[in-house]
Amino acid sequence: MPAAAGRRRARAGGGTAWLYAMPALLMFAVFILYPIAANIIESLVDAHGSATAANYQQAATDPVFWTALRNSVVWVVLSVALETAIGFGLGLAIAMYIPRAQALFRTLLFLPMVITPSVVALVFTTIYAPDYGLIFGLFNSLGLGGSFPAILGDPATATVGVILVNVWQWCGFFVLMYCVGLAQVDRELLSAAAIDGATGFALVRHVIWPLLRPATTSLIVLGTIQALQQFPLIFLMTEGGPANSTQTLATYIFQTGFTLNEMHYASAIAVVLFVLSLGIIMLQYRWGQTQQTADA
Amino acid sequence: MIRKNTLQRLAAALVVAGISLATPARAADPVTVTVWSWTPVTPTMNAMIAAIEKAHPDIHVQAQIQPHTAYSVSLQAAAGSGNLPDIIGLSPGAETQQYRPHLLKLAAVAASLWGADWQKNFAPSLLSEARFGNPPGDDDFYALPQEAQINNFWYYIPAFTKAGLDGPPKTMAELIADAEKLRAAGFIPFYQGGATGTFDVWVYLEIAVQTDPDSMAAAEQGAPVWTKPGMVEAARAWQQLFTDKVFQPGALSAVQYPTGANLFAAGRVGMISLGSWWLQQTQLSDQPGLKTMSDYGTFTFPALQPGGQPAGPIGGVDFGWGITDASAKSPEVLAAAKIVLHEMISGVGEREALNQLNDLPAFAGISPTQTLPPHLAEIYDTYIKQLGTARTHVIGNPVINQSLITGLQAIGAGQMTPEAAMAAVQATAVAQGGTK
Repeated sequence: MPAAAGRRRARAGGGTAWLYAMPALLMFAVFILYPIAANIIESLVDAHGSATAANYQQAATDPVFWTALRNSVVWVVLSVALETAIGFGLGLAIAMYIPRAQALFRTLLFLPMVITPSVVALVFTTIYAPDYGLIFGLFNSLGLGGSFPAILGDPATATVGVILVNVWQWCGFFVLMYCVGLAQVDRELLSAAAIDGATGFALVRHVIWPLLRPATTSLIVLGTIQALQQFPLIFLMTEGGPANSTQTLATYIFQTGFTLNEMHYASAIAVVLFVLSLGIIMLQYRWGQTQQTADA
Repeated sequence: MIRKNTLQRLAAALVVAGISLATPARAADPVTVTVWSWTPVTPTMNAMIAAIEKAHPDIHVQAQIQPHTAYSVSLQAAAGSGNLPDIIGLSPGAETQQYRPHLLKLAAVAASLWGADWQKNFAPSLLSEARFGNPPGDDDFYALPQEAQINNFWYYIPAFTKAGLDGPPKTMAELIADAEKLRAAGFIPFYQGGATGTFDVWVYLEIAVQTDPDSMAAAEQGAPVWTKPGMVEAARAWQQLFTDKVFQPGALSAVQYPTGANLFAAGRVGMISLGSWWLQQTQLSDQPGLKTMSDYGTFTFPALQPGGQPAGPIGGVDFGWGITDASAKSPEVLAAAKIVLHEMISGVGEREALNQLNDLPAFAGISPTQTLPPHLAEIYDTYIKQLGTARTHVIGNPVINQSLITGLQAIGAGQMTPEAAMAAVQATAVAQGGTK
């Protein structure tokens, strides 16, 4: 009897739990699941509503799509690698060598995060500008004005130029997260490692870095999502040019959907971006789990 | 007792409220007409609305002005959900065609507003552009222009004086030489916001109107004529602007707005591609040279060959208005929307816009009521004359337009030859269904 009563209570409790969860589930269904499903359906029909795979075939033969796909991958790899390296390095330096000024440096490095991307884009377009930009001025004062490169005007350097701006804006967040992670590291553990002879690079490589792996995994996932969905910086600094050389999937979705009015094709590209994001994040989680198992 | 009184009062209040709600709107209540657009700027739009509402107290105009990108997104969402406003601002070509299914045919409306010969009030280029992209056999109008523009080049007179130049270049060779002198005098010789594709296309068209105006006009309407000798020659001249350092270094990474326009207004730039809308700077600045335009002059693209003629003007619709089928749901709103359209194009609304020198009037015979300084009046009058003969300035098909932007940027970046770039645009035009 008590067991049956327990099951009844559990069933009743389960029903209540579903009731409480219902608003959030409804929101999730309406604003996340439905748009994803609607987008997939849009990508599989033509302008007359007939089922077709033509939008995906168009992507396969569209050189701008492949440029956008390649650039999206470059964005993830370069952006996340630089943000992680700079964030970890600066976070470690601040936590280990200037702990008293930690709050000040964390605030200063975090400041770019609160600036709206449109302002950042405008400022850096001017900083990069040949002929009147800040960096050109420095080159010019050294007598090197004539050899100053048109960073955003050259298809070979434009993508990297925008990625560096993104890294500048986001690395403060990585520093902050690593500082928080380092603050949670047990000092006795570090002392014990030092007694065992682990100092300098060995201490960082074999003790601190593994201890911060959960933070690193989270930051890589966040950085990947941010890099894949980056739109304003690219749009405002280069509009995807010159000659489509800085298009990413996010900007190309906008161009095809809203400039060229090819909504079905844009939906197909959005599905590719969705699959790419999902794939990269699943790989990263798998990597994080493998590393944790290895550490254990 | 107290409770009974309270209930009685509550019942009485409800009855009164019910009667109020049930009473039909008074005849004097103004009819609301909703208007969405990205232009003119909000202060100008507000002045237009105030003038229209003053002239028609029975009409209330509720306007929403947004930046163009946000406007495009809002419009698409509203069209998809059946919530379009009564009147929408439109660019000619792709944008008008995109919303054509939701727009009323305006030829008959125009005839009722301005008479059977209403078309004589608009320049040929405006009427042509207003119908860009219509299906074959459909000669109606789905948007009518309020304002027109001429595209041209502006130059900063003090920079030219400092560089020892007495006027704008007349030939390509002079343009290249002048750029060198301006650079030596410490100015950006010719600012080109090459990342802003629209301005790349405009400069190209301003050259092509000199090398092959007929092919250019056909290409704008979708004909695959991009590899005609004159079209390729224009692309070569465009390339020369980069290779001979007429444009500033890194032009492909620069934007026309706000950077280019701001630098030009600040006196840092010798020449720039803008247009008649630049006149509005006179209303926005306190600098004497800008306020009267006494420091600025205009020119069209110089002759490519010595002894040749400079290019003629290009221009057309700056923006127009379409009446949506939403307004047709109510005869009162539709009637009011037609009145608002009339006032915005040829009445008190347009006069307010002109007094702020927003751009040029599309409707002939309207001019600003304020007295313009002599130099400014001369520029304005020249623009009005050019409007009568200007060639169109819009690539009707957005896919071909994007292909041209890509080709021009690839030429500028040294990735493609002019011949290869034009061949790529040609291939796009053919793929889009153009016939030779």
